[in-house]
Amino acid sequence: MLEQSKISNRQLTILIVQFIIGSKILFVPASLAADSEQDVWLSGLIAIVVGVFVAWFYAHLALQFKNQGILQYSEIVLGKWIGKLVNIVLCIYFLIIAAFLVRDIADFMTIQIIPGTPILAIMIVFMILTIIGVRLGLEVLSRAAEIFNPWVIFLLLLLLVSVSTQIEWKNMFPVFDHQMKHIMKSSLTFITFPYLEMIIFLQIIPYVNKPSRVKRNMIVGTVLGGGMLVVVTLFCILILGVDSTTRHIYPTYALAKKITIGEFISRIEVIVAGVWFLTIFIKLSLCLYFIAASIVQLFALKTYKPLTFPIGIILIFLAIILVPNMAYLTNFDATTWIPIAIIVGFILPFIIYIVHRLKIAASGKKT
Amino acid sequence: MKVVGILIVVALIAYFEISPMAKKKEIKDLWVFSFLLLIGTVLSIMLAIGVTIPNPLDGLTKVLKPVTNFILGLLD
Amino acid sequence: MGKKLKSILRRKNNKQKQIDRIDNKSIKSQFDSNLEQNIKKFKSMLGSSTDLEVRKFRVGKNGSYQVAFIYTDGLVDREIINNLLETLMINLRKDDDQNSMEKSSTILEYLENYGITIGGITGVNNFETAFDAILSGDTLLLIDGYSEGYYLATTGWEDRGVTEATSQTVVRGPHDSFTETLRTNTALIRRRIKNPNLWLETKQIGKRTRTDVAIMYIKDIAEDKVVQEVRNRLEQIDIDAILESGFIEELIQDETFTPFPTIYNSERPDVITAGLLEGRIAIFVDGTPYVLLVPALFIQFFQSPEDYYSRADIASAIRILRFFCFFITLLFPALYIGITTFHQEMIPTQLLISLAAQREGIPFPSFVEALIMEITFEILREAGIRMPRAVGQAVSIVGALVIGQAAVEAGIISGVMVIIVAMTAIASFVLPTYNMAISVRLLRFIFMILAATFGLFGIIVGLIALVLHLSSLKSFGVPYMAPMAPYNAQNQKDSLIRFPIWGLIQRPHLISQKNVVRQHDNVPTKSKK
Repeated sequence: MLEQSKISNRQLTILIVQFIIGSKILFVPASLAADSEQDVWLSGLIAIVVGVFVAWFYAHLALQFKNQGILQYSEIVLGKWIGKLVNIVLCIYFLIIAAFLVRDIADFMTIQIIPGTPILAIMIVFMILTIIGVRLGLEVLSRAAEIFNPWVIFLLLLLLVSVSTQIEWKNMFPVFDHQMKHIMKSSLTFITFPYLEMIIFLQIIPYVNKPSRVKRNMIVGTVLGGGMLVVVTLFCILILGVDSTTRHIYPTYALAKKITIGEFISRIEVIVAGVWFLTIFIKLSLCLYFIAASIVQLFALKTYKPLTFPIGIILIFLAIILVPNMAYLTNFDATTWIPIAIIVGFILPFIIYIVHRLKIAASGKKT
Repeated sequence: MKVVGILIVVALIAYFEISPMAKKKEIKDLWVFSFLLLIGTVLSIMLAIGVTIPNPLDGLTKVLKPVTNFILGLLD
Repeated sequence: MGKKLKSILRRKNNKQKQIDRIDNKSIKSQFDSNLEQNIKKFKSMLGSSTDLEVRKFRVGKNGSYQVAFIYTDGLVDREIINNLLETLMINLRKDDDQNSMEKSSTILEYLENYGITIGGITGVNNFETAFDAILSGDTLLLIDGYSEGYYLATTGWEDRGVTEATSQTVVRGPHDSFTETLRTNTALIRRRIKNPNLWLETKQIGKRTRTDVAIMYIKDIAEDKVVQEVRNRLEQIDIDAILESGFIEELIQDETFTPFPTIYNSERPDVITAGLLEGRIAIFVDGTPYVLLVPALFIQFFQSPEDYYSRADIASAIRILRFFCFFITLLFPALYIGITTFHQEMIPTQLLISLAAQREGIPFPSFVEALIMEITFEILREAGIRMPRAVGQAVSIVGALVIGQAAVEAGIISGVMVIIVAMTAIASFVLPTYNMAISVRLLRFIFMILAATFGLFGIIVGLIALVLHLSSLKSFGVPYMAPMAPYNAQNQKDSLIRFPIWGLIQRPHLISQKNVVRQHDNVPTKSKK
């Protein structure tokens, strides 16, 4: 294990919620409504149900091993070399995710918040912030997430309440207008990003105080996080309409632009960007933590902290190289990312689980 | 100019990280750290001087094309 | 980074190998049996300092014993000495009790049993202990022909007396405050907690000043581990002088490189008492009215003793106001800079027009403008504290004119900026603890710089960094941000808001896990007519 820290079950739930919301919240209405349009709530519900199953499976797998994360037991279960290969795959998986996150934040900032600032400057500042967080350790990160939590909830509620007067119910109809296939397709992008990225928690669950309640935490976190995303998507559809929602890169931000309180306070969408910023910070920190942990495991090092700066540099590089533009990213998320997420996020841990059970069964027969 | 900036940053990072590791005699950590830092530096410099670097995701997309099409085909 | 800096600082210290060594070869020696010899030695060791008084006299039948009092003038209570001399020189002779004289084997024992009419009396036979005693106000009694003596508790020097608290004032609540005398201070606490479990340990720290430092805690509430930790940290201090509790604070705090205080201090006995009752540990230092309290939490610095003396709803509202003021102090100038430079669209049009009209003709960007004003304010504030009282009037007039009227009229500063600076200044004084207020005011400048470079993005980056830093702090093993992070539902009752006293059933969990329940469910039953 990397450190001696312990995180509470409550902190785990908060981390999960913020991990799920992180970065997804600004895009989710567009991708979720892409195929299912006004039946988006159904896609969302299906995705949450699948997400709960995924979360349950992750928790179940994590609880098979005491005080070990997936990086450790993959080597034990699959053997040293195959295990290391799995770790490299996981490392690359999160390198890609983290690079996307860096890109997301930088693009959003330069397009919407502070146009004119070089994108690289934003990436570097944000990366340094993340590195500081990761170096302080998981315990500090989860405490910070705990402090962010009321703010995230407050700002989200502020958004939803203040635009709720503009809801137009006719945007919801006709209901069940779409084929099940299309609805499922929409859910699929939702399942692969963020739910199948939750494999990261296989490395974090071992630090939790009371493992007995981890399953509950995982499921509650999944439902809460997913629920928030679905509600935000619904609001987008209800207020902006299907067309406008799917056309925007950041539909949620477009929604926030509609905020007016008493005709005096308007254009305070920047505040809503705060939610996104806080959660994406937590998500990126966890990813960076995982990447560093995987390298530590790969070479059996003593500490992860010095690795954070080089990884940070590489991540900024990847953020620039991997994503030529946001359209590329949106397209990639909707196509190639789906098999990658399914393979790494589901098939890999499933194989580990099966092999582990077989081994137990085999050793049980021997004795 | 950019290259100099990158080198300065890298030198600063190296200065602050290497001495504690060297003190604790964590030789392996030192190697891995230096290796990663070197990769990062080389890649950044390549980016800075405008070398065109192929996007690895394009390759990934090509390799996974059949699988992607299969999955998406199921739902189309 | 912090560690790195620390090690650099340490390295410099190591170069100066010559640590302050006290020349104490002769001081270790024992008393001589010859009184004159002893007196001469005392005088020479103190360099014949003029405040060392030696009073020689004779006691016993026919004055058969040569006795000497040695004390430091000014540190002893003259009255006690005079009374004692009266007893020994006059009364003892009047009814020269031959029996008791014979019952006692030595004159020393006789004096202890029949002669010295004083409470504290301790045997001593070497110069080191004797000097400790004399220099802290005790009187040494030596008899010719004996190589041992007594020191008598005659301490009594000029004292400021218990006066009203000056740095933490309340409208309602006790008005007494600690003084410079350690014993008076501990007594002020004893008077409030009449419980044998209130324990007090004293040790002397500082090789030259030999300052009395006392730790006080309630045995069955305070966490043993924390008490032991405090002891250990105090034990490790090796310094020549302790002049104020600030010395101790800096030497034992968990983290040096943080603007936030991780040790609480107060000059109010009721605050320290409340802290002790929550399982904290008080550290008294002789010579200062400021008593330290550990472990300290972030929210503690937003709480005033008065919160508990006024109505719960009012107190809660005021606490929320304080947190609001915390954010104003921290962010108000930064937000102004950020919004006016990067996000003008956020300002309502009417306001934007009036702002633009005011800013017209101002030669500086808003960041420079804000910086000038904030620094001017800090200068005025500092001058206001340090300057002699007599010139105070002059400075405040000049300050008000320069900052307010003249700067605006001269077109250097916009009127809005003056309002903003005034707001932050006043808001910072709402925070009930001075050391927290000052650290917030310092951080404000960092946020201004961030806002000037990256706008709101910079501010939120700064806020996240601040939260990370705060979450990483610990005070004697207790997370600084408790009970918000790690969250504790029970303790929320006394953090952002304050529940009625009958609702505060449990003590803060992270401070101490011992004896957590404070009271029964005391919801008062009222007879309804």
